[in-house]
Amino acid sequence: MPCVRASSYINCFDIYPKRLDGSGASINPIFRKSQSIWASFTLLALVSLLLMFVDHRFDYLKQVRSYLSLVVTPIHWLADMPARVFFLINDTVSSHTDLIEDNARLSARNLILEQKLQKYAALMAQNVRLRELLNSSRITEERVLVAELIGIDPDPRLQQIIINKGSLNDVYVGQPLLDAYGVMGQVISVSPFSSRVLLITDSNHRMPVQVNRNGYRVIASGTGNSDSLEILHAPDTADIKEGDLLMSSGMGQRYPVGYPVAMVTEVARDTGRPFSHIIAKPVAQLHQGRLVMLVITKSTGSD
Amino acid sequence: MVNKDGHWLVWMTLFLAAYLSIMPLPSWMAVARPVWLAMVVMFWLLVLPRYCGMFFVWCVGLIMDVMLGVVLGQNAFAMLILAMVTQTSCRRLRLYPLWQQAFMVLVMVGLYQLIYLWINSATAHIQPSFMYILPAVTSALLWPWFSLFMQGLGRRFGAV
Repeated sequence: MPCVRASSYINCFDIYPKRLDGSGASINPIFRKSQSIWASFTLLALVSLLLMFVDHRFDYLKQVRSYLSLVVTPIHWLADMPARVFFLINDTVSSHTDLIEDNARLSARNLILEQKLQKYAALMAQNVRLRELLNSSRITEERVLVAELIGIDPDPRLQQIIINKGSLNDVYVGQPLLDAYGVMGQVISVSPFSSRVLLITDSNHRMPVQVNRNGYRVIASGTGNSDSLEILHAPDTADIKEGDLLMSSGMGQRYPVGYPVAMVTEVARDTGRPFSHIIAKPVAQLHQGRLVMLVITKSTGSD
Repeated sequence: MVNKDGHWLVWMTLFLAAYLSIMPLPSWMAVARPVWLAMVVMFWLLVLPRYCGMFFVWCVGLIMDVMLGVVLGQNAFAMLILAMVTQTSCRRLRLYPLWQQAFMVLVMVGLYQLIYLWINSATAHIQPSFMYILPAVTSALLWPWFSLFMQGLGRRFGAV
């Protein structure tokens, strides 16, 4: 048995044992093999270059990616397992008094929210009346779909997350994602059971926003840093101050209007530069919560 | 050459490596996360060169692309070049002591990371930085232990 194993172990060098037989023809298979390796290498390299080009420039490979994602979903699911088990254990072993405390706190909070909602109903009605007076279009209420975060992109330079709802739940590319505090990002690829979300802080993400105080419109760009956004091309005279709340302006027709996005934390005006340097901090808890909400805005158009 | 357990073991290790490569880590550790899948593929290429062909490696790379959400073909291409270098220097590499193999792993995974970085900076707006070399360093540092562990596994399940 050890002998068999040893011979299989040196399979890689198989010119040596065969050459010892004295048959000169045994070199040929090696030669043929290396040729076929070069052939398949060249072919596959060309195919991958072509794939990269097509995938980067066009949209044809969306379906392929969606099917391949089915293979990957179990891995993401498994990677999320420890956190899931932790929460499960936490839920099971939390004591009776803790639960009572939680319950009391949540009912108090619920009461406060209900009170705010009463005001909101009146304000909403007033807003609709005023808009009718002005002959402007009505603001529609959005419905949401609750999803759960199952994965984070391992590359620290990319700000992307994976959620557990996919095309089977009618998630579509471009759908906005919120959490309890504000806008998180938008869906960029969908597979049957999961989808990938680009966060607003990713360096590839731009988002039209407006200052809540005066309606000044600007564009917020992700920096690749998980707790800051940069305001692009705001002139020195722009009325933006520290502490201003930035809301989604609904301009790009991607995000619905009026959701909080970020709080301005730093305004630096330098007369030597054409634009002022403004940094804002996202109000959504991009790296803390597990529950997120997908806004259903299909009527406003998406691709 | 490879019995049934062997197939099973190769797929299992690939699955584990995939898990390790997306496992959530704090960001200071994630920067230096070893390239587990590249290491596993290199190991099997060295031990079972007939079993792991170019197409196999390419498929692993393609699955990686979907898993990491990058342009299709990015990992596949980098993986292909890594596999080609491993295949062509296979006979030499297998004779090296582990520390020398680790040095070669540093060079090869560094090459892998470099290709990955090039494609990344061409397709996505990511600032290239020298951080990309860190995963190669950690992969090389872990290689001797990784290699011994995998050889142990391979003997245990009769794959090598």
